[in-house]
Amino acid sequence: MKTILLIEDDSDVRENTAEILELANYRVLKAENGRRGVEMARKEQPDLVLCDIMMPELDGYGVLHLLGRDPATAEVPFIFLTAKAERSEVRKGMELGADDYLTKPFDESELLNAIEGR
Amino acid sequence: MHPAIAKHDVAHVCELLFSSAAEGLVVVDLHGTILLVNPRMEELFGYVPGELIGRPIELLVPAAGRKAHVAHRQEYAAHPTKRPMGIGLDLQGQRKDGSTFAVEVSLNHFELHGDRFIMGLLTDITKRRSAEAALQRVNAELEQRVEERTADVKAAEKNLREALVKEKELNALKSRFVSMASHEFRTPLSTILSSVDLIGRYNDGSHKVNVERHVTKVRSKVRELTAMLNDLLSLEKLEQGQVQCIPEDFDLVDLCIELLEELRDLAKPGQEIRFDHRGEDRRLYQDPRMLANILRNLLTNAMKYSPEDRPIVLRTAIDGAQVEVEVVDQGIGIPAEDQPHLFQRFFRAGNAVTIQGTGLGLNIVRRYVDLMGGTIAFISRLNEGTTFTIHMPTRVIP
Repeated sequence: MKTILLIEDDSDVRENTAEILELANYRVLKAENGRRGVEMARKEQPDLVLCDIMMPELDGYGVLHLLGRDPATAEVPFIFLTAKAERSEVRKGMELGADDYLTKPFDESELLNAIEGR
Repeated sequence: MHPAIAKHDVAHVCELLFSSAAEGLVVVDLHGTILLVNPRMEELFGYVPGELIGRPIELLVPAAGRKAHVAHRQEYAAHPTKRPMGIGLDLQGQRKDGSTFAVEVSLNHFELHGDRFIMGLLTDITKRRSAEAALQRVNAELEQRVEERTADVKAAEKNLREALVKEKELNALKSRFVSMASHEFRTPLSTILSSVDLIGRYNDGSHKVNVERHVTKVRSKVRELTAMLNDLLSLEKLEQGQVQCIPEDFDLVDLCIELLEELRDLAKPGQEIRFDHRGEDRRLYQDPRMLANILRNLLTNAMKYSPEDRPIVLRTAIDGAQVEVEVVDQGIGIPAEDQPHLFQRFFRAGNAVTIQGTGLGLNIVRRYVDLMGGTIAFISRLNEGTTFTIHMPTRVIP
């Protein structure tokens, strides 16, 4: 069973996304802010990270930066979940080394396809 | 002299000039006694032929200028030159009947048989003066019109500038709205979409509890989105000046209790809302819907920006003609540097950007408070809490 780390500050979005992933037979680790997410990524070595951008403590760009610097986590596929649909935001995420991004609201198949693509 | 005029005819021509000239001619001696006038001179001043001869020249000067004229004349007699009289002065002649008229005089002098004489050539310039006056009036009118038009143009320019500023503000507002809406609407929409996906997964009838849980989530998110839309509509109506304070008589305590009942479901676990009213009087003549909107806004903010298990206090007090309303929380507080901007449209405090919100609520609240004739202020300390205080008259004059 593959493990996905989900970093998202909005509890409803976090719980629903986790539920969809669990029903698709993934093991889901949940973090409610960027700092906690980085800690869990280092400790648990997930197979993939799904990460929101706008979050308290440490935002999604910060998470990507920290994980990318650490050899233990640098290779883990990283997908942004973003409520910002502007191209500039998306480009910024991709330039920082994200593998993919999903714009909210995303449906079940978009989510699962993005993950299976990695 | 041209040969066409014979020498012996010159005296005759001069005679003709003298008698038919359009100007008045006068010759006086050094004492100012009139020795000779032409018919035009008599006509101008209204005397019969010969009547002026032997009279002092001052007879033709208005009484007020006579004394000065004598002095000027003596001065001229001492140093005669060929020159106009009274340069820069508004010279007047006086007719026999006492009426006066504007004149222009040029002076000359000559000697005859050893005696010196002074000659005056006089023109009635009444018409020229009135033409000048008319010209001056036209000029003044023109200047005034130019001034008026300049003022019009300046006013138009000012209006245009103001319109431009307003337009720029609207554009800035629009782009802030678009960026806010993009973010703030997408998050609840995500929950709705994923809940609907999950309801679809649970449709075999054996997961009734899960279905209900997601239906509740969808409902609550739809409510959240609706509230955001309502804020936007309120803002739009306020912007267009369509919102009016419609006062009626109501019980403040009843209104608060009903409102707390409505909001109880939205509270986080352990967020008890305490209500306290001071004063015997409970009745207000104010807009109850507006007041309910204000309190709903402040109380949901207090819940949103406070952790679980921290009480929120609503205090009201009526003291004479004033009502005081306080909403007290022990929440995250407002950073000092953000406090001056708190009531601005779309403004979010630095410690609130990751919490759902449009940045419109407090702007709307303040406008409602204005319409109700009141004031709003707050005291806040970071990570300790915030107290909003409203003062307004118990009876509003809309």
